[in-house]
Order: sequence, then structure tokens, then C-alpha cells
Amino acid sequence: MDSKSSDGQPGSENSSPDSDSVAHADTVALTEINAKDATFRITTRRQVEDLLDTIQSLGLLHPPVLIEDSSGYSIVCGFRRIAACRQLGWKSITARIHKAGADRFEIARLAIADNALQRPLNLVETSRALNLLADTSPDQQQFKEAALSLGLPISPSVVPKAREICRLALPIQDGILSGTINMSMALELGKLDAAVATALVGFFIQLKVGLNKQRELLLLLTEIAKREDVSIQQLIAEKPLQNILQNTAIDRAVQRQNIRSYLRQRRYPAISKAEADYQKRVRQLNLGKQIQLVPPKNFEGTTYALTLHFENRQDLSNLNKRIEKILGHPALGEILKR
Amino acid sequence: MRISKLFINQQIADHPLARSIRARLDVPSEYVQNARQVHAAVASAPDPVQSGKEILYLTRNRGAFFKRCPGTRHYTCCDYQILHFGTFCYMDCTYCILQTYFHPPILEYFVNHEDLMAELDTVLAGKTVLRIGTGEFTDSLIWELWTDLSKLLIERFAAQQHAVLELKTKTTAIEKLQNLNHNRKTITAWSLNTSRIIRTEERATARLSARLKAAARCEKWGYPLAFHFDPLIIYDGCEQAYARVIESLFSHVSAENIAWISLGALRFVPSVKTVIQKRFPDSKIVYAEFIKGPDGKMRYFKPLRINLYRKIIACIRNHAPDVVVYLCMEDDEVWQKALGFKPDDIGGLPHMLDMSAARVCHLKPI
Ligand code: SF4
Repeated sequence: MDSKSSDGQPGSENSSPDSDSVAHADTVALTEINAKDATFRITTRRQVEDLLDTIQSLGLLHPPVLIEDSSGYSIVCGFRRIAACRQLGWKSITARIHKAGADRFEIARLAIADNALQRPLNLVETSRALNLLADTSPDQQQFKEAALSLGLPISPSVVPKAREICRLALPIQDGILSGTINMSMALELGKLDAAVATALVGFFIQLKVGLNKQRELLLLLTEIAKREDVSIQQLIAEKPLQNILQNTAIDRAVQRQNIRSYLRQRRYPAISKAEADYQKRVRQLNLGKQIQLVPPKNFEGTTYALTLHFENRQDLSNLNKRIEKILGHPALGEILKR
Repeated sequence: MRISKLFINQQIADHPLARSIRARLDVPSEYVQNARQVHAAVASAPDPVQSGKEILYLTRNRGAFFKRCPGTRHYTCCDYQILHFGTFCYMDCTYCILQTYFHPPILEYFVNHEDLMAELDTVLAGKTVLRIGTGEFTDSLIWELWTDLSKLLIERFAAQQHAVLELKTKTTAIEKLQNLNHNRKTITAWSLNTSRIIRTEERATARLSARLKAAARCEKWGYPLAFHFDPLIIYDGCEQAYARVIESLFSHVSAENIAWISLGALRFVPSVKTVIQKRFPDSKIVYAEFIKGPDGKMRYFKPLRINLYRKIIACIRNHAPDVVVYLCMEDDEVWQKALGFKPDDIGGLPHMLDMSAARVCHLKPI
């Protein structure tokens, strides 16, 4: 919420219509500010190094916003600015302060606006903002209107899912923030035990695997684990996978392919073997680039397709001779015998 | 079984069968205008499928009571006629397709037996061999506690010479079948599976030994028999386990009274997988090697099916070389590799079953 304010850009506290009317400016000792209360925290950024120089040379251009609580003050806007001031050894700051009884919905909108109107929120921040708004809004209609004005999603199919995100285990949230996993994968992982989800996020990060492949790997791992009564963590920790993961001599893409093949073979041993046998026999047939032999889908049907690529009569005639040869090849008999 | 509530369609409130079922059930009842109200009542439950098994909705069948077996062009179908007198089941098999057939499924029974019997008369008016079964949308015998439909049907079939009724069940609810004049025109049939599968995947069904004892009693009462190894489920040690079931089967009944034995490997529409994962998280059956068949159903990879069929058929042949064995919803390749012939070689599967029905049930088609 504080990235722009601290850079000397105008803060957005004024964007909330009545907020200023009930706030007053005052000097507050930093010891009186409860930095642990994250009720109004939207930002996921924790580091403050980028703020230190500016605050030290120019001071706090935009005072943080606080709200009174039973033991002092909670932060509404300016989590990072206050953390930076602490790091600089300041004893007190000037802040705008709301009374303890201030309208929580109004304060929530202020906290969200301070972030959302300055930069696009990431998924975790959006999730926090939606939850904060939902928890403080008097009714659904006001929630919707406020969300809309703050640029938050309001679609009934998205809001519940988005709200889940900030309740997920932290490694999953970190996976989202690093761009390793998307929302639907995060929610998928959220259904698993936190330790398993953490192991999987680590696995995906290590493999640098794209979102589509993540889904496939997750399915393979989950189903193998279920069938074999082992945990996903155990599976990942097993030698065959670790041998691939720790083999730094091979390219990451090859590593990913090897992992996928290994898991697929383990999940579908008979199908994988049939596919491998089929490929071996097709290679023995030496079809060349102009002939393709396509097996029945999943080897369930009995009809094979042969596709020929040719440019002229001579080409076709040559292919005809090749087909004659293929017809007499024992590998074709093996393929058709199944 | 635990029926906790009865819903009665207002329009059949005074139907004698509705009154009789209500008296026999002795649970709270509610009159409703239509099935939607019943669906709504179960849909809000945490497990609507389970909830649908605990209520009973009595209504009238406005459509046809008879339907053709829903085969597909990709696989050979037995061409059986389905007598649809009720839907769903209070037993709870993990793989049950009925869990996804209706939204949500509810235990529903049609009380207008007068219409059913009239339609049956029309169906039986033809003189060709017919095989009619009631176990497609429900279990044939779960209704015995509250109704006398089996008696009605068995006696009606006994009075003709060209059609057989097959009552297919996983229960032992046969008491009311004793002393009925069936004239061998009703086949009592059991779905069989290994004890492990019955224990883990067929909740609230009768144990294997109980099913076989019930079959033996029906044989003693003169009923022809049939057995369905469906679904065959692949797991480590399943071949030996199925061999033990077959051994036990032939130690209870004699082969000459068996009209047919069917084999069908586990198959399911993809939505059943989701239901199984949700309702039966400990079940492992969906994690085997399935492929999507041309009919959209998930099936075991073909060589795995063929291998299991071969072993089971060899085992059956050991005990009963002449008993009719058929495959449910398989293609010619599987027939050839598992049974050594294709349905067309013997005039088609329906013909093969008709012949067996004629022989075992003493049919005299015109
Ligand atoms: S016995 Fe048949 S109808 Fe009943 S739950 Fe099992 S599969 Fe479904």
C-alpha cells in the first residue's frame, strides 16, 4: 500500500470520501504502533530498502494512517513506511489518526484504495482486499459497489475463489507471487495437506514447469500416491525422482520430460509399455518421413491409419514399393497382432 | 437400509399401493406436487446421493415401463429389454452409475402397477423370445420389503411360454419367491464379486457366501439362475480371488441350471470418477489403467481386460464347459481373444442368449 506514497507520489487517502473528516494528524511514538496487527495490510511486499533513502533525505512526505486500538494504534496505510522509519531508528512519526470507533468499512476502503489505486494488485493482495471488504461491508450490495470502485473483481464465480487465496499456506502464496503457479493450481494445492502442497510448490519451482504441465504432474503424483498408499512427499523424495531432479548435467527441459515419462510409466505401466513397444516396431518398419502409421486411439479400436505424403506419381509409386516392403515386414505382423 | 422419510406424489395419494407402502414403512411422510420438491429436499444435504437413498418417493410412471438396453454401436449389446418400475437403490456401491444418472438421484417407485401390467401384456403378446430384466435402474429385489411386484411379475411370466424375466440382485431378499408358481420363466440372478470388492466397494450389499446360498435356495425352488461378474475389478491378486469365487459358485449351484454368466470389466462415465473420489475417498478403483473408449466411458486398457477375461473364462470352463458365458459391452476383438469366437459366428449375442433361455427356461416360442 505504500510503494508510491513513499516515493513522493500523492497518497490516495483522499480517495475515500469521508475518511479525512474523521482523521486528525498527530505525532505518535513508534512504540505505540502495533506492527503485528495485519488487519488492514494489503501489500505483500516486506522489504523496505527502496524507501530508506527517500525517507531519510526528504522525511515522510505522506503520513501513514493509523487507527486507535486498545493498546495504542494499528496501521491502516503505511506498513512499509513505518517499518522503514523503525529501521532508520526514528522514535516517532507524524500520522493521520482515526478514532477507535471509526466506520470500519470506510477504513477498509481507505486501506485498499491506498494500494489498489496506485498499482495493479497481485492475486494475494486482491484476495486480502476482498476479504477485508467483505468482512467490514454492511451488506452485499455495498460490498459489490465498493469492490467495483476499487477495481476489484465482483464476479460471483471469481470472488469466492479469489478470497480463498490469502488463506492458503504461505508457500502456496509465495508460489503465486513468484509466478510459478496460478490461481486454479493454488486452489487445487490448497485442498491438499499444507506439507504436501509445500513440497509440490518446491517441486514445481525446481523444475520451472509451466502451468499446464503442473496440472498433469499433480494428477499423476496424486493418483500414484493414492493407489500406492504413499504420500506425495514420499514419492517426490524417492530415489528415481531425486536422481532426475539432482542431475544437473541435463538440460531442464530434458529433466522435465524425464520426470513426466517416469511418472507416466509408473501410473500407466501397461499402456506405457504398449506405446513403447509400438514405437519400437514402427521404428523397425523404417517408414521414413512420407509415411505415417497411426494406431487406434488408446489401442482400443482395431483400425489403423496409414497416411502418405507425396508430390507426384513417381513419389507415389516409390511409396507403393515401400508399402510392399512394409507389408512383408515381421514388425507389422507384431503391431497388428497386438 | 434406512428409509427415513416417504414422499408421496399428491396425485397418487389414494392409490392402494401407495397406502400399503406407507403403512408398511411407518416413517414420516409428506405429500408433494412433483419430483422437483423431492429433489430439492435431498439436494441441500451434505451428501445428496446418500440422502437420496434414505428417502422414498412414490409416484406414477407417465412414460413407458419398457425400454431397450442402452447399448452403443461400438460394443456388442445383449439386446435385453428393461422393465423400469423404480429407480436407485439403498445399497451403496462405489462404482454405481445411478449416482450420476439423475440430479440428484432419489429412491423412486412407480405405484401404477395396473399400467405396468397392461404394458407387459402388450409386450408379451408377441411370440418371439424375449429377455426382460428389472435390474438396470435399480436392484431387482430391494423392493420386496414393501411391495409384491415380484410375485405379480413372476406369476404373469409363468403364464406364458416365450419370455423370461431376469431378477438381478446383490441382496438375499428371496423369501417371497418361495412357493411361487414360476414355471421356470423367471431367472434369479446375482452380481458376483470377490469378497474384497464386496467389502470395500459394494457397501450394504449381501456378502458373497450369502448371495451364493440364496442362489442355491432359488435353485432348490426350481428357478433357473444367472450370474453377472460385473464389474470385474482389477487389483493385485484379483485373478486368484475371482477363481475362488467361481469355485465357490459351482460348489453351491449346478451348471445346468445356469442360463448365462456375464463378464463385464469395470467401466464408467468420467463423472462417476469425481463422485467416487468425493464420496469414497478410500476407494482405489479409479486409479487403475483406464482409457476413454469410443463411447466416452472409461475402461481398462484392452489387453488388461482380455487377460482377465481369459483367466476367468478358463476357470469357469473348468467347472462348467457348456455354460453360456458372454461379455457385456465388448467388441469383436475382445470376444475373439477371450472367448475364441465372435458374436456373429454364433448368430449374434441376442440369439445366443435366446437359445440358452429357451433351453434352461423351457421356452416354447412360436
Ligand atoms: S446394488 Fe446396483 S443399483 Fe444398488 S448401489 Fe450397487 S450398483 Fe447401484
